[in-house]
Amino acid sequence: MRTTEKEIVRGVLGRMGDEAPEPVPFEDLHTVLVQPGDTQRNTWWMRRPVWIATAVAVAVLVLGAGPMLLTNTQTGDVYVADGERLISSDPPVVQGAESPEPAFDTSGLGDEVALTPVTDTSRILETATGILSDYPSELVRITVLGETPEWVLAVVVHNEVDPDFGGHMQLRCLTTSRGGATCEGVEFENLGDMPGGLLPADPDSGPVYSVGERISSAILTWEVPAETSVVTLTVNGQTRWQRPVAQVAVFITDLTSGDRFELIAYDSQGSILNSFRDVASLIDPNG
Amino acid sequence: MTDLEALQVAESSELVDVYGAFSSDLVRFASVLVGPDDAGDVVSSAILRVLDVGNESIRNHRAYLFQVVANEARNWKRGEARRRDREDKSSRSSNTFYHAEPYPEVRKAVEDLSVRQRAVIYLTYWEDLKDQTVADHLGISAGSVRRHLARARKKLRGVLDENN
Repeated sequence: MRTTEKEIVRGVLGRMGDEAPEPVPFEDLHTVLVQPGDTQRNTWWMRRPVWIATAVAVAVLVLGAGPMLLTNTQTGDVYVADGERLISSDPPVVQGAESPEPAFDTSGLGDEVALTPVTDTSRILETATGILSDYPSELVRITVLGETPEWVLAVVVHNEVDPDFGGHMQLRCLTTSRGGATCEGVEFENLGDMPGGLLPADPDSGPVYSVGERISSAILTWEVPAETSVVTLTVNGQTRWQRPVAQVAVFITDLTSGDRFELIAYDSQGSILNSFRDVASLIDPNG
Repeated sequence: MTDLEALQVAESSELVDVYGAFSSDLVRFASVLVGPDDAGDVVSSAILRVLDVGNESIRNHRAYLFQVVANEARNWKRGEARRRDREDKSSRSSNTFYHAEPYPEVRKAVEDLSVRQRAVIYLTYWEDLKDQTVADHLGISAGSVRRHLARARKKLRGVLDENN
């Protein structure tokens, strides 16, 4: 940004700031929030339903993960991996491959939270369009994970060329059919070694565990190794399980602060491949 | 504990001094993020939130309060009723404001940025903070700051080019 442009922006910001009201004295803060008709008392437990209503997009910025083979650059055909099913070529949409079938007894793992294959992708496309309009970029492919009774879930991959940032980025957004929000603010650099990160529905709303590992009160997503057959989620002693699709397990949760939870990835023989355990907390005061 | 009770307890605490030191900066920041009509509420709500969770372990009070205000502003923006109300207020105040604004298109473009992008732009260009310090104020990584900045610049550049 040229200096003159910076000065213009600074001037605009200065005038916007000048419109700020006088700060309320500390002892009067309470009165600001009890005006007639004021419904906001922003304790976390009141905000949580809002998160659920707005938790519609999860994204992870894939850095250093290498190019993903998603289309045939010679023919433009959509690349369809083993186990995937082509739903649409334009835009490119596939039903993701289901994980290997478990060869062990899952009856002790609680209720199954199945990701049911879907063919109607209109709601996902609508949300994906919102994402793409927020981040001008090129839709590469949508991998539909499946459907739960209330949600349609998909991974949207799009390319973004950002010369200011220094080049080409590829974004993968776990996207749900609910609401109309975008991936705004959900990118972060350090997810740890993929697979195996917790992806946020909204990094600002959800608790932060460590760099690159965040969790939403609404959506808990875990990317797992290809050989993963079953993922279990245990919250406060209650377990559910799921066969991941496209190496992603997604649980719609009602985690609240203080809840103990654990994720375990099993291979088809029931051997543990990976696990993650923590106590949900709401904010990290030191960011 | 009610808000009022929490405030009464906190009046003897360090937070009173911290608030006194930074309240003007916080309200100004909030005003850029959500507009002057809602800035006071956002800051008040943010401070009460701090009271909820405690502030004993905070190392950088200014950065932390900016972070909480930014988060509060984002949540504020999400409220549907509040959004409608804000848009009504915005349309009313905009009509008045644009007479005096020498760069109304740039102002509009800034207002159209996401809250996060606006926060990054404000802390970078108004507060003159470096990427890492902006990151500390928003609770995100420096890389995210650079990306938000790049995206915000991209959105502003088109308007700025028309003004130059």
